[in-house]
Amino acid sequence: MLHTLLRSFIEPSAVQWAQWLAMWAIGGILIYLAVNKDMEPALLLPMGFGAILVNLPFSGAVTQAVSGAVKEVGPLDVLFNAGIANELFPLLLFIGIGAMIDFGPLLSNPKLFMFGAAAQFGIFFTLSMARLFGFSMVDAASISIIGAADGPTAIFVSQFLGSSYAPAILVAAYSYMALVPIIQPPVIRLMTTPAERRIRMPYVQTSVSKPVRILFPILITAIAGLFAPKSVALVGFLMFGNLIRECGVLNSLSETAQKEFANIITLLLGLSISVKMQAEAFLRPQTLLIMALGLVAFVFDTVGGVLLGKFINLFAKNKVNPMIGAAGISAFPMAARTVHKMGLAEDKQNFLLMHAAGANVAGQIASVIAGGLVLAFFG
Amino acid sequence: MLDVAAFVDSLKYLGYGLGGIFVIIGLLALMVVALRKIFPAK
Repeated sequence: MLHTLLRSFIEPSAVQWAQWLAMWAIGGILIYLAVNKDMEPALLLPMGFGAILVNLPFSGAVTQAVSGAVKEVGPLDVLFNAGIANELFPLLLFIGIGAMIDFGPLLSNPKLFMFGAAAQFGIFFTLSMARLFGFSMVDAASISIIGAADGPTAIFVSQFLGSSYAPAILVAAYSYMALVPIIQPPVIRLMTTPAERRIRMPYVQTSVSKPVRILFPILITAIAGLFAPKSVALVGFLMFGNLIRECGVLNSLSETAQKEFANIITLLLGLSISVKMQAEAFLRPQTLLIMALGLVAFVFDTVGGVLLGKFINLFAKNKVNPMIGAAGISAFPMAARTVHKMGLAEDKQNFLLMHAAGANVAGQIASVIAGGLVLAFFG
Repeated sequence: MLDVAAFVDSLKYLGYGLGGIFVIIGLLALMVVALRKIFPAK
């Protein structure tokens, strides 16, 4: 035992120790953000703990080479290979997310779909920016998907494309999703006038029939699959979850998918992604660049959505509040809440929540389709 | 080192990507409109 303890302290170099200490600090920051700031705690806390776990000297949590060729397989590597390397966990998580989403506001007002499309602008803009900074096409595509504002899509695409920057991409994607209420307001204010932000959009409650709610997830899967076959796994699992919710005969399955199932997958996802947070792979100058590019993606997603709102107002008789375009990013429900709060801040009688929620769920669909398009281009 | 040539070359994907997503999402929106006409709420 004493021998092992001494070996842990003496054998690693000073550089290795410095790297591990840096990763412990990063792990600590992620745990702090999860616990004290309530930022995506279900994912950032396991990731933060995992970052410490995999950066201990000769950590038994990850696979270690023993006497050259013989390997001691670590449980986190087993989890990673079972659920992330083959993209299974993010897809399973999509079943839970699909079961959580009420597409009602979108089905009531299908025009809101277009805001979901416009708010994917940041993905493709960031791809070009990543290329500008010297990333390979595959890595640039993986980084750009941070703009999908959707963790499972980011994992799925970056793993599918085989990017070595997957952990940094994931940390950026989840951190910025949690920071939507801080990132979006200044961008929206910069892009709109106070008069535009005060535009009222009365909400007329229209009911949607049950056949529409049931056929919607099925047909979405079929259409998305026909046009972007590589998106069909992402879209299909999301829509399967929604079909469970809407069919009306699987309520207990729907509740399980929304709660226990999604929680278990999230837990395993956070812990197993930390395998890739080993110091030598994570502590690279590119990680900081990826964090910066992730911010660019979120900012230009917001810009794209708001610009579409302003463009529509050039022609529309009934003006739209361009802020709802910003809710077209997938970060649900933070983006919708942010826009709603900004509307109320300008005019206490301006209730944008339902429109923003419609744009927000449109963004959920658009982001997985965008992920499928990225895979079609570079997969 | 900034790779301007790669940046300019990759801009075509901005066009393909946004074009593709607007076409697909537009079709989905039309599908919802059609579904609501076929199966109106009672």
